[in-house]
Amino acid sequence: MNITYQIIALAIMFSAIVSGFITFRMLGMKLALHFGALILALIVTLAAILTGNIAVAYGAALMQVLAAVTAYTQIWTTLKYSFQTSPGFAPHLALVTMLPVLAVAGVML
Amino acid sequence: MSYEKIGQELKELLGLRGSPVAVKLAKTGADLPAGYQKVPEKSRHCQFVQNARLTGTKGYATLDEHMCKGGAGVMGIGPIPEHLSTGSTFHKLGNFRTAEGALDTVSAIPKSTESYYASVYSPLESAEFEPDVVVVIATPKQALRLSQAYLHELGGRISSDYSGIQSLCADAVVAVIERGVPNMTLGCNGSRKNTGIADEEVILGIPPRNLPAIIEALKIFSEKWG
Amino acid sequence: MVKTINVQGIRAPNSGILADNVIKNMDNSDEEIRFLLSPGAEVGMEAVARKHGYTLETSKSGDLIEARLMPTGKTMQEIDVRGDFCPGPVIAVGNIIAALPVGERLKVKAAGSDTLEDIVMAVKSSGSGVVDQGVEGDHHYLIAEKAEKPEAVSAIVNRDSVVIAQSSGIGNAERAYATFLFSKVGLSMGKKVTIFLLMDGAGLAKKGNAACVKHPEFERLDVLMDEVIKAGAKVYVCELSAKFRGIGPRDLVEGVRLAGAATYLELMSNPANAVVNF
Repeated sequence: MNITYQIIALAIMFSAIVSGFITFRMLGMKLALHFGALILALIVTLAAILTGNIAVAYGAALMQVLAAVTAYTQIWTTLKYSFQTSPGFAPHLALVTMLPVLAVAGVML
Repeated sequence: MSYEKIGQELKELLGLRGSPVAVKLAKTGADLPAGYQKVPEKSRHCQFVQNARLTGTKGYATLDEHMCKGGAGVMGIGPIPEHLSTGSTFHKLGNFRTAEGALDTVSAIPKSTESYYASVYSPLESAEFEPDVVVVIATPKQALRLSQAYLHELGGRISSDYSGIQSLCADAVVAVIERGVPNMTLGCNGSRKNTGIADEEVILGIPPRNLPAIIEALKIFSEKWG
Repeated sequence: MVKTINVQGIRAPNSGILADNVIKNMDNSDEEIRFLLSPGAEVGMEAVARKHGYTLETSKSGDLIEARLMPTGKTMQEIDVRGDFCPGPVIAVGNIIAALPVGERLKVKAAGSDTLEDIVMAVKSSGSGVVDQGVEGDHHYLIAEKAEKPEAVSAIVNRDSVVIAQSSGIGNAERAYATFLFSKVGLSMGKKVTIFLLMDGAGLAKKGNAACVKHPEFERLDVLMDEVIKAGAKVYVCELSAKFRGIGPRDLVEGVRLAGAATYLELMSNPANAVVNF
């Protein structure tokens, strides 16, 4: 298990907290589910890095994927109908979309 | 078109008393023919026509010069006074038994669809403008020849309409300008009383564009019928 | 050009004789002529029309009968805009009318009444009139008549109506809430409120979308939107923006109507409307 990918995922999640907050504010402070998943993923990933425990690592990977998925499920309708305003939450979506790849890399490689 | 020749020929071929009268409705002051003055004194439209016909008086009349506002009004010069447009005057004068009948008639009087600044008059043969209508005051026989001359070109029939009021203004001028078709009318109390149109005379309004063909026809009639 | 002659009071058969002479004396045999006749006087007009190679159409005009004689072969122009979507129809109709002489008519066939309403708006805005409108078989139609645009009269206008142009849609909660809260206030002040949803704003028009917008301090947006519509605000959604986003007439929230560019332009350019953008 290469810790590098987990560290990169951690960095991305920190960044996503900020972009997430900005995005949620614009969308009306909804997306609580996704925000919760993101924070949880951050904590579990930190734990995985610090403990090196493989079970925790798998948990972290799962949470990371969940964080990415919940971003989409909660924002899907808005994304579908908002051509002009979607660039506003593009940064956050772009960031969380990186997580699934890193999650898999973090446990497989 | 040279109206000098046409005016002369019309007079001679028909044996008219006086001249045919060229009448024009000017939209603005700029529309008035050059050199024309206001008519010498205020009067009615029918009088202006008679003056041009019998004494060769040329001139133009704005709303101020028209004493008869009803006549001016149907020609689009100023508004038609209400007591005339509702028919109440003619009802009171006795022309119609009921107010409704009076209203029915005045509603159907030919009225100008546009507004004008002044009416311009001249004997036809010395007119220095393009008339909108030529008014001829004639005997029934002269009117007959004119009618035959008009029909000579294309055949058909003539329909003339009148109502015994506002004859020289509405029937002879406005109707002809609006429709582009000649109309014959029998005068009215106002015009006959005030301007001296003879008992045996009738009035016709003719669109200028029909005149050349009418003259040709009159010449042919003169040859064939004497 | 169309020449209109009022010959009320003249009965048949004289009306026909007069009409015959009018036609004979016309300079331009390509012109349409309209006679305004007293009822009953139109008898005999058909024969006159046929004699000169015209087609006759009669209709009521107030208390009088209007008899329209059109040179045969020269029928009213028609345009079929079914299958075309905004702003195509409005532009096509506008171009034809601009080139028509005053008095001439154009028939427009459209698939839906919303497209037609937009065209009506455009026709009237240019000063022309709509003389007939209705349903024919499977489509809607209108007949427009070209008129001169009247001179604008400068007037002191009471601004009692508000138009809200909403272009941010469900991706911006603050603007979406502002739109409807603002409308609520406007309505309570007795103002006439019209909301025009365009671009991303069209997203608000789709059933179920406004429910995606929720701020902790306010009720869910679709509830607020429903309140505002029931309170009398008119809500239009731009046909093009809707089409861009795959939103069709059947997907619309109850009370929201499709509208075209002409409606928007008319709302924007009417000096009586105070316009705000969200």
